[in-house]
Amino acid sequence: MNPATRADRPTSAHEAALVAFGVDGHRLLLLQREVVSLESVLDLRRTGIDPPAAGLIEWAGEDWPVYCPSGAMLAMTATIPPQRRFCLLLGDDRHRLAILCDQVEMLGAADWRTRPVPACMAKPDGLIEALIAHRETVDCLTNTARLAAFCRRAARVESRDG
Amino acid sequence: MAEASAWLLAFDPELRAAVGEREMVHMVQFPVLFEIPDTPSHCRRVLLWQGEIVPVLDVAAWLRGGRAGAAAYPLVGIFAYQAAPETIAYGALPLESAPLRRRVSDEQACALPEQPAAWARIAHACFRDGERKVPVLNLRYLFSDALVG
Repeated sequence: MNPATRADRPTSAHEAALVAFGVDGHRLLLLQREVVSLESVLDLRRTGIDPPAAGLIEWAGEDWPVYCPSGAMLAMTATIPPQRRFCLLLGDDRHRLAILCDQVEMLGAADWRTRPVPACMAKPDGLIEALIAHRETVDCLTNTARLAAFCRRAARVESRDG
Repeated sequence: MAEASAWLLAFDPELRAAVGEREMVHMVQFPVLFEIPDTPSHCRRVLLWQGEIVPVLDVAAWLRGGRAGAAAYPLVGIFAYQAAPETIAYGALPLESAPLRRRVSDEQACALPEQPAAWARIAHACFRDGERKVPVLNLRYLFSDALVG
């Protein structure tokens, strides 16, 4: 074996500003450019929702589905815990959705060196795009497309389980 | 008669396995673990070791079809394996106690234990240690994407 080469060496670097958001002790990072707006949970509309969405929020004249991940598994819930104070509106070219969260932190631009999720943990279409080792901690990088897929999966589970 | 050294690993009071002597590179007591959401139930956490992000795979939980516990692991072993030609990767396994060194000869070779049946997927050999059958882990397979899903 050649110790000079390691399988999980940094593969890319994001010199972009990131946003961290927290849900029940989980901390997820995404690119700041995917954040459309930050709203209050008090602005949610709870009528006419399509489970597993927890509500709708109006932005620029359109309704955006709002999801409320919860607990260790980040399972979608329609019951909004009191610590969910923020509604993070996210969008890319193909998806738009809003996520309820407990904390939001702007991390600013830095040389974020990302590493792939280890093969034994990486689900196809999984929530986490990459890991970031930073200041003796490990953060999880996601994106709008993966969050949208994660919410769709929750919808399928809910539909299957009745 | 060929002989080799191995580390005998205890995953819980019943489950034992072994790896080659050079495959175990370090042990960490009460490691700081980081939970990664939306990951397999037997492999939900990572640790930082010498700047590497190392997955922690609970072999006992996987063999028994259960979830890795939420409690802290008192001890993990860190193992090196060849993920691809000229590429070393690292993985961690929770251990119940410190590994024991064994000299193993060809004469000790035996069939895998019948239970749990899933040993056949993650072990590529087996030897007898006293009355006990000890599967030899295929670390490259164990830490690949083969057990995901």
